[in-house]
Amino acid sequence: MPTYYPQIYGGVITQRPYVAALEYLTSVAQQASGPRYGYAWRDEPLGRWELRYAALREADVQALETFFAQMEGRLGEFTYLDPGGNLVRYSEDFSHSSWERYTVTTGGATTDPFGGNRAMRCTGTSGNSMLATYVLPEGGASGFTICGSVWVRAQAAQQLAIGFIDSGFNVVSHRTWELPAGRWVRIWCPVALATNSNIRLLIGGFGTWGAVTLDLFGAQCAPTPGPGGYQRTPGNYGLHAKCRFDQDQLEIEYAGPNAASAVVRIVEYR
Amino acid sequence: MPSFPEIRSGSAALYPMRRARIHGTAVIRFVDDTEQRWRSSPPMMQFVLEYRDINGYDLSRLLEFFRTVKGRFDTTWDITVGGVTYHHMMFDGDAFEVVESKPDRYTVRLTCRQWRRE
Repeated sequence: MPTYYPQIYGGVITQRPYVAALEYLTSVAQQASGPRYGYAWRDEPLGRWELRYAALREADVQALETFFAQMEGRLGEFTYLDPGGNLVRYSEDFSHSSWERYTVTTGGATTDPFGGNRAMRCTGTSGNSMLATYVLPEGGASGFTICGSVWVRAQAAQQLAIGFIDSGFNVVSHRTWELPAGRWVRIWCPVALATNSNIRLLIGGFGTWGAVTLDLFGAQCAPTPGPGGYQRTPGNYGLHAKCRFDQDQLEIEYAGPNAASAVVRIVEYR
Repeated sequence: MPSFPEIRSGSAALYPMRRARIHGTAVIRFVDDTEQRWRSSPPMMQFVLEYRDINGYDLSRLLEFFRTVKGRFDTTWDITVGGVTYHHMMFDGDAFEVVESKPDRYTVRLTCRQWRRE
């Protein structure tokens, strides 16, 4: 079961400004005669984050210090759920094998809510169509707050549910939204997990997706209380399983009682 | 040959942006203060592209491109700025660093340059 970097009050992992970086490693030799030889050491970039906590309560400080002590500074390994990433593996490609399609047929690309052409037309073929994808494949996140979301455009006014299910298809949480005809709506559902089961994001179900076509775009799950800004995947996947602190010293600065600040640096490795 | 993407404004760059023309000149000064100079490389262009408070959708286009060229590894792409297309571009670094300062508002700074002329 993974050890996750902790959330502090209300399901927050960091405060703003939040710095997140993905980093490649390239060796370059530029010859005096002109040619340039490059070698890419990483096929996939590694993450690097700087969490600048500007306002921490004493309980938050204790949570951070306890986790830092548990990890023994740079020694321990943990899983970092990037609040600036997306826990859905393929946020725009609902035909990908990471999506479980229950009586849903995926179609071609269509206009998205941002003026591009990256949405996908998905057609239900029964009275209870749904899509599901793993967002916490290893589970073990009891007590964590996550939020799932997706943009939807219905051809006629209808309802649509969004929520989470566990490994046994038990509903962890869900919300049902009213969709107007022909307009993009971002529907979302937060949950404070009370199970260590693995977790899947669910779109549809509860009899809300019949034999109709819906345009879907930007499925997202973030380890935050709200849906957050859209992050596309693949490209900005939010689950980083091999991370460590990039510091052996955790310094807390107190401006007063229940008013502390700290900077935490985290790096990912292979 | 990949091209640097346009974001929702329809352009590759936003203000503020810096553009530099860089000449390569080697200079040797002798003890009698005379000099020998020669052109070590043709003039190249460098851009510092700053995107302030863009949304996640535009950010995803920039990040997708950065991942396509794998940081400074790929040197075959081009960028069109002010109606002029500059070829043989490369990023100056391997890191794509994003600062989220407000909800769904991201700031990214990318430096890229030409490494050879046509």
